[in-house]
Amino acid sequence: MHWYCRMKKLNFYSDFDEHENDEYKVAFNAISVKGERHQKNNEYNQDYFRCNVKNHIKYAIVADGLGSAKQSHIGSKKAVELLENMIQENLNNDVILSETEITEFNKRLVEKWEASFPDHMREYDTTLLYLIIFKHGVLVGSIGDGLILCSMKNEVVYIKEGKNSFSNQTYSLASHQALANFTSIYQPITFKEKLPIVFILATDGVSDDLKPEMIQELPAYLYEEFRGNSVVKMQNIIGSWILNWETQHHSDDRTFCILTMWKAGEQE
Amino acid sequence: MGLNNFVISNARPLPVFILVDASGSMQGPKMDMVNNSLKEMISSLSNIEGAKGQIEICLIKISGDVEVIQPLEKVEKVVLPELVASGRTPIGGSVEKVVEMIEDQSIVPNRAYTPVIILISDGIPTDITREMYEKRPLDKKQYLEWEPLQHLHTANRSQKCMRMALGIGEDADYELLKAFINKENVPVIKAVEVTTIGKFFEWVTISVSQRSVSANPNQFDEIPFEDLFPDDALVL
Repeated sequence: MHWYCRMKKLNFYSDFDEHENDEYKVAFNAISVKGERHQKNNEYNQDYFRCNVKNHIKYAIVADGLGSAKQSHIGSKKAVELLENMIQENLNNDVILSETEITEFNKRLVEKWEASFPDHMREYDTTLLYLIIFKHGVLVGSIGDGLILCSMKNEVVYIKEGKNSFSNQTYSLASHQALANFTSIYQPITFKEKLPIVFILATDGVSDDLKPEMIQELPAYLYEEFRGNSVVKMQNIIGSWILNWETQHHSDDRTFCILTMWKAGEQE
Repeated sequence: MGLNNFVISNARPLPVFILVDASGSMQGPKMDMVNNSLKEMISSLSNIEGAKGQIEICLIKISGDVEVIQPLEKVEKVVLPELVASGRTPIGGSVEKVVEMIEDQSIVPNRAYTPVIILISDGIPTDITREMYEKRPLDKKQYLEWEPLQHLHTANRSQKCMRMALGIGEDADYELLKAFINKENVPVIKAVEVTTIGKFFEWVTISVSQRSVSANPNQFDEIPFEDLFPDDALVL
């Protein structure tokens, strides 16, 4: 069954889908909300995302255009689309990536993005987070702020918060030596032995306001919610949470993606 | 438990650290004017409509000792005590103190917007090294090699902070204050008359207010000062 929903005329857009193969069922829920200040000033949502669980290689990509860059809504969309094309055209589902190959992959991505804006790339500047699921492993990569979190069997095994200074100060694709500031890791996984697996990607509009002492519990909490609800109901739960964000005076764009993998038949 | 339990409900802090020289030489109209201006600033910053961040204030008194007389607190809750001038001017100690606080994530969390540090002084620091003392008067370059300022300009988080400085009177150490700011195009404000002290705080209030309502409160490259101060009050 395929679910798809995208509502661009509203102040948010969302997407969700699910898929089943021999090893597991997989679903994603994602939403991007235009921040209150951008809404008020009739400006663009500078975040962008794409997720795909139908493809052989599954992925979630999130980009957060920098507030200080005038055209960053274009830069973030371009980064996501370029990466999506590279995944679909250049990557092989059966491959186990070496460090050199990962660096080369990121390098090509940065070069393609830079080449898209030859004269004023700083005006299009953006962060980027990605998760790519191959047959035998997972590649996560990022440049700049935001959260990537991975839990397996309800235990957090990877967390990237990537912030050691202040809110809204970040590395980005237009940074000097962007490639050197890219963080990537490939982890071989025998998926059926590690289920349930939860991946979370979020821009700093969300991740900066998550309680640090509770962040590790979030995947297990969401998985419990997921077990009791359909992917559609789950979309309502996550959408409502991100749309009605609890933090006072919050005005950033907010993007949140969760990708869940579980044994078929385990959902109640 | 719901998903909102994972979310911090308080707005993101926008911390403002104020280092005030309250040494003996500040006694009289200078101290009175600083006290009045601080209160007016707190009042103005408490009433900003549409603020994106939560402005928080910390006041550090520089006199006999370095004393945090107001720990970082929401501006609406701050009630400042009257500063009384006495004692020496350990500016180095006050800079070390503010660096220590800014680097401490339990005081300034990662989600905070970039802090502002304000230094107000009418004299020379009394806690420089003996070697520096013997080389006086010191220029900006020499002050930049002073350990407290080196920490300020190299520590991971404090080096990114916005810095503003006010020198009061002709005896203030403007080379030190320039080294404290250490940023092109951001002048030290020189207050020969006490009314300029009030204007300095007005400038701080405008800058912090503008940041608090801007799309990105970390942008502070264009601080308007030309309309507030005469040219001879700007020390670059």
